Amino acid sequence: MWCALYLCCLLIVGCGAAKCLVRSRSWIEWAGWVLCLGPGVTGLCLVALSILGWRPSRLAILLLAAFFAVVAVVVRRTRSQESAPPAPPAAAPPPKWWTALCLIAIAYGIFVVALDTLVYPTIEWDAFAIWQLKSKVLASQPLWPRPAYFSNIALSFSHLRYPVLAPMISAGVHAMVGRIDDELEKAPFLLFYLGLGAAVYAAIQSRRGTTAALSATALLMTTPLMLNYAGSGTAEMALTAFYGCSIIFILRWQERQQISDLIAASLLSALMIWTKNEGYALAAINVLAILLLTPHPLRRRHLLAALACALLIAALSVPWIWYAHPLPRTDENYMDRLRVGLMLANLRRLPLILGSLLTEAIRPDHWCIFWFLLPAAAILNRRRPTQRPVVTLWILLAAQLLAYVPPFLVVDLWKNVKELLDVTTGRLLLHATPTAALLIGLQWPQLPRPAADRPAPMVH
Amino acid sequence: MIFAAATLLSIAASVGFDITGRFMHSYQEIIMSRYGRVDEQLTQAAHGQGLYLRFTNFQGEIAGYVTNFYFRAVYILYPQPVLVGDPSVVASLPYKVLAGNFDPTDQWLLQHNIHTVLTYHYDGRGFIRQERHVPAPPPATR
Repeated sequence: MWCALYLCCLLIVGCGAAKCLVRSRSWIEWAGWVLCLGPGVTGLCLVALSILGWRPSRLAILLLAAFFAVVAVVVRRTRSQESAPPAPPAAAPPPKWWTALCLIAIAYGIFVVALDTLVYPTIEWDAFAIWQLKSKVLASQPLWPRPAYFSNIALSFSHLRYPVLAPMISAGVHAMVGRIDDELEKAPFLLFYLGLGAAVYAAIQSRRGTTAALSATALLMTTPLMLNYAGSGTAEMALTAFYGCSIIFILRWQERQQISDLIAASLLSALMIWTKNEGYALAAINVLAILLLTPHPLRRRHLLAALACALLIAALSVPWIWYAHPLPRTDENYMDRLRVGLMLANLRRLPLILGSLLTEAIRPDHWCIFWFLLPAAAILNRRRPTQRPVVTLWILLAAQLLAYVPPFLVVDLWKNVKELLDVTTGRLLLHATPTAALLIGLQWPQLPRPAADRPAPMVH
Repeated sequence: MIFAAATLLSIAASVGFDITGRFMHSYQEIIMSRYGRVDEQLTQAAHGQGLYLRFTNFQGEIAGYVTNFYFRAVYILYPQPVLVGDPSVVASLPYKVLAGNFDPTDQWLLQHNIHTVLTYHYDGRGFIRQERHVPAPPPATR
């Protein structure tokens, strides 16, 4: 019961945050923002309180929810809802059987992720060795004064310097339930899974129609690796959800130039930094995308927008950078090893790294033909006029995959770099699945509407 | 149409892979039952006071299991202390754990606030465990 109440609190916080930040064009889009922002903002607030000396508690969570509930009500009274955009003119509605099949697949995904998050204990390796161990630490002690855990070298296998947002979200479960619960600690990650699906669906549906949206969403939510990691208790689902939502807000910024979209993209980028170290690279890519990929990038307004975005991300991230700076640097110290000289010296690893990414992408037991559909959709879409969102997404996808290469060039821990690649490339590609799903959806080959459904031509 | 069919095939195959692994081969159930047994062993051995884990005859491919036991013990028993050697030494990989894993004396254990040594021995077929409890020293009399 307390866990259910915690999830409700996350949703209330999400409502308040989403009300402040964005105007939604449909209830599904609204649901996506609430489900992704709720746990993220709650986790960030709990981290802030923990740094101030208060570990997560039932009272703190309920007060947070109450605060954001008031915010949601106040903002609702002062702001009007955006009207839904018109459906794309040439988008044929999906056949009923197609809709049914996609919904059955999505329902299956929700069912198994709910099983993993709400019923099964934590059994995934990184989940219990890293993320949920940290959640126990954060539930037991505040971040200030620093718990002994963060200086315990014998526990360096749990990556003492990894960011703490995902564990703090889980720590909220322990705090609300009143005890350490190895089964329910993963419950909030179900919200990320649902939210990402809703956000991607809405983003495609408003631009390309229901068939493309439903198909791409079903693809995204049922890839085997997504089903494996979504409810596992690692930070992968959180990072994937934050990143997917952030690039949707970047696309909205490109279309509408509204400051609220920029703030939302910045907040989500900061949440990525608080979630995993990959967040630094992804946030930097987002800032560059805002700077370079908007219409008229050299206009003063857009330059200032990119600067404001970078400053907001920095302001939200500095507390973690400050907190983590004195923590022990043990063998897996990627950040300090990211030097140009070392990367150039290890360039001979590049074919191995790129080969591993390619080999991972074509694994049928991890992806089926998900990554094959991406170039296929691009080829089928080649005759359509160039669309800014599609070009943007391709650039973001390429930048993201390239950004993941340098750590493998500098890693020195593993006797065999291939061992590290084998266990990590799947998760790195998982982070890129929202981008790929958006690309598949936005490049979905359209069937023309049946003649009977088309509006009658004007006769003069 | 071919693209749509390929999409449907990918979705169906994804669901099929998951159903096969999860419900037909029961991969998760197998892992849960194995960790469930180990969790119970660790909890019972620790008696709420932490553990020292000792590993004997973990060689070749079996050596990798030391981190299964060690990492799982730290997670399950937290905040109780769990050691596999000198706590000032990094123990993040199997060969590092085994290199620093020794048979501790009672005095060493008491200095580190641990009262039980749980030894896992691999006999070629499975893991045999053995417990050694260190009684707390009597309180000093005035």
